[in-house]
Amino acid sequence: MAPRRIPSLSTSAVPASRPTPAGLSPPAGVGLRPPHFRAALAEPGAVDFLEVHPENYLCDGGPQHHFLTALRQDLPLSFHGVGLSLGGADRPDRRHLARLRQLVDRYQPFHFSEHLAWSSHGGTYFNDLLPLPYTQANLARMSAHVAETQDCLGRQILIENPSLYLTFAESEMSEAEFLAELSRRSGCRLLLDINNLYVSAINAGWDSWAMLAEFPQDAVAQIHLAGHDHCRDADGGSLLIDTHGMPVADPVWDLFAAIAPRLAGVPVLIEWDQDLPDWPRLVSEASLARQLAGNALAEARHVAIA
Amino acid sequence: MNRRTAGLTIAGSLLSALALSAVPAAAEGTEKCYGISLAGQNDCASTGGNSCAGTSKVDFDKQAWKLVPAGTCETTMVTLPDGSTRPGSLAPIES
Amino acid sequence: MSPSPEQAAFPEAFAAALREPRSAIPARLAARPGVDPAVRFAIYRNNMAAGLGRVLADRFPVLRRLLGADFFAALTDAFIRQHPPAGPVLLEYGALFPNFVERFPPSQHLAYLADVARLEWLRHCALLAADAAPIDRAALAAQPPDVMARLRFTLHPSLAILRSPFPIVSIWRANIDPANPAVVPAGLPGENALLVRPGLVAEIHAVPASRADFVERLQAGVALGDATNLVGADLTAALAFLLSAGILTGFFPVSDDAARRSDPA
Repeated sequence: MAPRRIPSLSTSAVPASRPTPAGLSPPAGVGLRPPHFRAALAEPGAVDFLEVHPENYLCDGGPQHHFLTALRQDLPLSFHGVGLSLGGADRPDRRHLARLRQLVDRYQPFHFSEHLAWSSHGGTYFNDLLPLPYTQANLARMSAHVAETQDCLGRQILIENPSLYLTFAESEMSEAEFLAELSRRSGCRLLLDINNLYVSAINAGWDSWAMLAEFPQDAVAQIHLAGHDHCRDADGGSLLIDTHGMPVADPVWDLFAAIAPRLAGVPVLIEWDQDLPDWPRLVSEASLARQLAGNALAEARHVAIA
Repeated sequence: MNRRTAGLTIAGSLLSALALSAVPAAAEGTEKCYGISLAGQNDCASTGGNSCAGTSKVDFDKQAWKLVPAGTCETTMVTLPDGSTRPGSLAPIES
Repeated sequence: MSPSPEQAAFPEAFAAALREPRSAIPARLAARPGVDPAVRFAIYRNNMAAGLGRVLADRFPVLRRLLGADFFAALTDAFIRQHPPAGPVLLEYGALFPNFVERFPPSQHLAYLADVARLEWLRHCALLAADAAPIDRAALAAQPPDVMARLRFTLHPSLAILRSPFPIVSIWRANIDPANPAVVPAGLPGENALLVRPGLVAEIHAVPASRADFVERLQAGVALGDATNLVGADLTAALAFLLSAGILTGFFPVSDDAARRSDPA
């Protein structure tokens, strides 16, 4: 029988803000991908926390657990689930939830987040975060799914706004209204993905600044930033694809800098999934987020004092 | 050879094997695994696959029935169970 | 099945249209004014197919190299359409792929491909299997000699054996590193692959059939003395291989009672 390795978690579970000359800047982390395992282990102080998709660690042993266990000794960890399909018609898969609970107990992540989306229906997993109509019926159903998930995992979860390529004619409320009510009914908090917000705004013809203003900021517990591809629609207009394959775009940085003073201390994460840069380049993107937020906070205080 | 002699022969083999064999690289001690992997055997090969990113590279829906293998099949010589040897082929083989 | 306009766009019609790429998209979908929703729907179809295609390409790199990228993409598209994932854990996706490869008409004449795919799937599984510490060599060496033949062993959880009429280990080794491709010479006999992951690396060994038999007997819980006839004079070398490859992880002696029951003589 294999010895079961129980990690002793020497590291505080929650990432801390960093003091800077201008004041405090938020904890900044990166999405951890296997090609960066060794580099991250060699230089764990480069970021304030790591995030992984728990689905990629639902195995018995091997390199995935070896490296995540070692890194968890050094850094706080966040789980970002992609498989629960909470916005779907079917109830969350109990077996999957039980496996996630085991993983949560083992690694003790400071956050567990999921999406305002669905990905499974009728026994098929579609491997994408799919959109749903923002209706009262879907709000009631998703609130129940989120509550059930929180019960099974024994903790509050975060729900993230999605990247949209399509919307539904039957939607009865805005995304922000849906999320605010979801949080109120289920007790979940929110993950504000500013890249997703911008991608959805351009693709649906919405105003990203108005969306940001309407977003229920008091419920935000984590921020995501990522890069997107800029394509063209048939009519020559912009079509953005949420590829996580390049640096964060300037309009996304602008939105982030604007909201950062209101969300001081909220952990911010860089996601990069395709065309992975080397570890130092990824770390520099997280450092930039920390620095921008710190500057924006200092500036806001300066304006308030003046 | 009686049972006891056979048992001692086996014991001798086991003790020789213990003396002859190297200790395998353990899961603990990552440094032991640096540099010993052959190309393609790297330990980060299993990336999981779940992601929350989309893709803008449209590369699905290939016309399979028009395709023939174009990799290294033709340089991979294979002996079939009936003893004949043949390479992979760029064109479907009539059977 | 093509979704009817009356069917609710979410989720039934949406799901049906994702599964059938040439079907009409659900009604009442919207995008920015002036944009055809069908173009946008194709993004979701593409995300699904491309993402799963990437998973299979990572998991079956040698098969992809043997077939070429275009053919492999056609193969995986057909597989994904017929066998989309049944659950959200993509670590488990691809178990059905080797059998699909075996029956895929355009490459059916290349009979060895399915066994190459089986080898790659087993390698993936070995990377995910439970960990186990190597056997306690000092404790093993300290066993009384007359007990050794009656020892049973526990084997590493990642252990797998694949017997093939084709030289699959040679083919795998020749094609796993694109920077150093090798030609597999003609006339190689079939090979038995033994996979084990003692540390972080999944090792693939080609072993004689007798050694594969020996390992499988030990794995089944047969006492050492009752399995040695399979390797004969090769016993010391076979045991040294089992030890150095990290296949043996534990041992326990057969109790005298059990030994008497199984061997009345």
